[in-house]
Amino acid sequence: MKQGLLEEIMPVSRVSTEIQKTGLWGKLKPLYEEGVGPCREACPMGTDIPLFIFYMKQGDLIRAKETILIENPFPGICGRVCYHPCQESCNRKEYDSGILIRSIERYLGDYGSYHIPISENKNPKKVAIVGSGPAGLSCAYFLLRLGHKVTIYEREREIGGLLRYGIPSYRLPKDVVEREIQRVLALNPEIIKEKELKGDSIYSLSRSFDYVFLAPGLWEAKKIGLRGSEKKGIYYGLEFLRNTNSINGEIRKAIVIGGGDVAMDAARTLKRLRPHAEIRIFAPEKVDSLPALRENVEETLEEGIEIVGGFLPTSFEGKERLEGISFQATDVKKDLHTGELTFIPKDEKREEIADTVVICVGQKAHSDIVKGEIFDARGFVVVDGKGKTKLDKFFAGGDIIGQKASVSDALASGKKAAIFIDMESKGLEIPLEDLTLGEKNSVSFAKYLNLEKKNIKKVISFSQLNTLVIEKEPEAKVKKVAPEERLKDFREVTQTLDEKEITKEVNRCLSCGQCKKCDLCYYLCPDVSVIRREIGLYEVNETYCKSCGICARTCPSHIIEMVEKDGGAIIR
Amino acid sequence: MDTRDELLRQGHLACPGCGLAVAMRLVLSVLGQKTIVVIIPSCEAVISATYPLSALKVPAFHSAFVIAGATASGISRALKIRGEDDITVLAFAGDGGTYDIGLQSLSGAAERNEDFIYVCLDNEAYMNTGIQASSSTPYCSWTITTPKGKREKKKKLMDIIVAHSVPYAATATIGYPEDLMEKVKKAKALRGTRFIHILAPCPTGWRMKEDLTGIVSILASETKVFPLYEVYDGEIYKITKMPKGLPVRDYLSIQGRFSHLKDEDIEEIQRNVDREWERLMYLVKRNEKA
Repeated sequence: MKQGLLEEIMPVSRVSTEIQKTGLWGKLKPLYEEGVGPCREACPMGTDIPLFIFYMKQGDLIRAKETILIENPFPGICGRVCYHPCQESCNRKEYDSGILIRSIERYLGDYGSYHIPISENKNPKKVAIVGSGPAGLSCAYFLLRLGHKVTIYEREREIGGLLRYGIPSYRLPKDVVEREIQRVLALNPEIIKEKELKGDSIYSLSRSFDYVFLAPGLWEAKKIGLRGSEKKGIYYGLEFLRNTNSINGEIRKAIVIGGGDVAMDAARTLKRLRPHAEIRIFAPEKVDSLPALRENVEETLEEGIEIVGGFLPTSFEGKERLEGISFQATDVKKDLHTGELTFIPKDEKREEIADTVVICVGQKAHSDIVKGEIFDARGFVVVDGKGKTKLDKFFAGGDIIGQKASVSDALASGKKAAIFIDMESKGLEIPLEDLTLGEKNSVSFAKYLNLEKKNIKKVISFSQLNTLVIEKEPEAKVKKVAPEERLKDFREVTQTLDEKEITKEVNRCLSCGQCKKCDLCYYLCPDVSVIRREIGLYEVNETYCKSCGICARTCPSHIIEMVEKDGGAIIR
Repeated sequence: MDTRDELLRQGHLACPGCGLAVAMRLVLSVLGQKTIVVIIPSCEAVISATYPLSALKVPAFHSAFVIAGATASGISRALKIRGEDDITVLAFAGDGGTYDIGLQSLSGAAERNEDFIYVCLDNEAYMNTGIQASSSTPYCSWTITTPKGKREKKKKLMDIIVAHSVPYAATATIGYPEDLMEKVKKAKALRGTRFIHILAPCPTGWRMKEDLTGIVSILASETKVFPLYEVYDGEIYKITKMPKGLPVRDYLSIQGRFSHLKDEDIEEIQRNVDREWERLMYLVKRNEKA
């Protein structure tokens, strides 16, 4: 009906309510700011787990993989052997059960193509890296991406260090190691193999290089100075794993001493090499508090290897060849600050028959290397929070710096050193705290590259999430090859989750601090003040927002917080 | 829903955190431009604005309290006579205008199966006039006319509507906006009297923080206090969102209108809710067997 005609019959409202600036009623407005999931804060590599899982939810696996590769060169490796602190701190544990992040990462690690961008660098530096284990390769990866020139020195015939020579292929298959290392090699570092650098030759590297990164690892076994240690049939952990051919002759009863992953792996390797031998592990720690990965302990037990906790050897018996071991019961005390263990002997003694023993009680730096001011009395290189040693231009990482001996922490130390080498070369001084996630020490490389839009100090806790909209769903079941089958050779024990299981698992992720574009904030705004520019991109119209806060309170991922409006609105 | 589909204007005078305004936005966004709205005295009348303002981008007719059903019938028939079949007639009424005052006119229209969508925006009391109890106000709830808590139970409006064998009747809440919009979409595709009962929390009258509107709506469904379901032709019941079955305490304890409740009151409400849920499940299964 034409305007005016209707007015002859009844009053007609034709003025928009938009003239009423209802935003003046409230002084707050929603601020959209993504944060960090506790998984990511806990990840030594600072991988943006909620983000890559979000891309997987959307079906964009390539982007998901590239998201990991920003922070970590080796998802296929970490997806198999990492001690997954991410899963331990997953918020969903408080709801039903945590997300199997490691299994998801592994799936992506094995998945198809990706592209790694290289930053332009007008003033590239020459960096020597000593050691091609996880720390060295990680440092190389990040330096190469920052446009530097890298030369890697490796003592062995092949690169990879512990990844190749320390972790048996039933946990980490060699083709996976090969494929992951190729990712670093594709960035064209110079590789010098079978070149052992000792003492002074390391220090002289600074003549031909701008920086040196030391990551030789700990390849000498700690000896236990016990009576009878020189007998035949006595082997040491990593050396044995590196060269399993060193073992010869018949074995009837073997004992592995130690409670870490090397001990588990030594026993499991023996079991595969000598299926008919009786193999047992004697650990100083109690069986329920072994330092080895939980999965590794479980699989060891499944394979019929007995683990006896709470014992330390006192002497090795026999003539020329080992015939038996004397043990003494022990209590272990862990210093909460240094993490160092003290063993308190108890009265109980035990005699065991054994013709072979593999001693896995820890590693130390090769004595040829330990020389000069950068080492401390224990043979570790002392570094600051940036990976820098006392000596100018020298950085170090991996097990040699005396940190937690794990692949992920080694990778993290290489990454951190790469960042600070780059910073130093450019005369930049960004404080470490500006790059670390939450309260912990993991570094965001994305933040360093200025790609990070999230507030990396905002760590989301379970109580901040709206989980009312989340359905309970059990975690995926990880499939393993049955013990009798897998003991036949060194085939991989744990299987990759199939597509269906992965989809289910990915959808269980609560996306802490990660906008999952659910649109609840937009749908539930009574005042038409959350404007959706596109899906997942919201703007707030302060002129009409009445500060109710429904959006912030209902957000399942805690992206939104109510903050003061800029305009200094009138308080209602 | 797209910004283009936004048919509620900014600057309306709903209280902060108003669930009704959310419901109106969502319903209108699905129905689209070709809609004529009937409004009767209620909070919706305030939100859609008083003369000379209008918060709606579609034509709206303010009618008398008692006759939302009759007005919508009239407009719908007039459009048919003019051959304008593609226009949806929508009646927005509150719980007062539906449960109490407009029940007769709605019943008459539903009996004749008049062609419109009737949306009851239920905030469980006469909030617009200052929180007086309606027959929708739940058992034990505080209002200014039930200062010690209401003695009577909430009227089972859905049962009354279903008894008219209308082609489509559904419950919805803003806590599940996609479910709500899906139901409006289904209703739009049908003809005859279609009824959608939307629970729209009111922070003012429910005596709760303004930011809880979304949470409390979700809890209403998840505690089975307000199950989400639809009924086709007065016969076929379908649950659209299976509730988690959280304790009713979770829902009651965040609302000031229930703050006077003792443990035994909450237990009684829990029993009532469980019984009603069983009855609903019986209706769902009865139809599955047939």
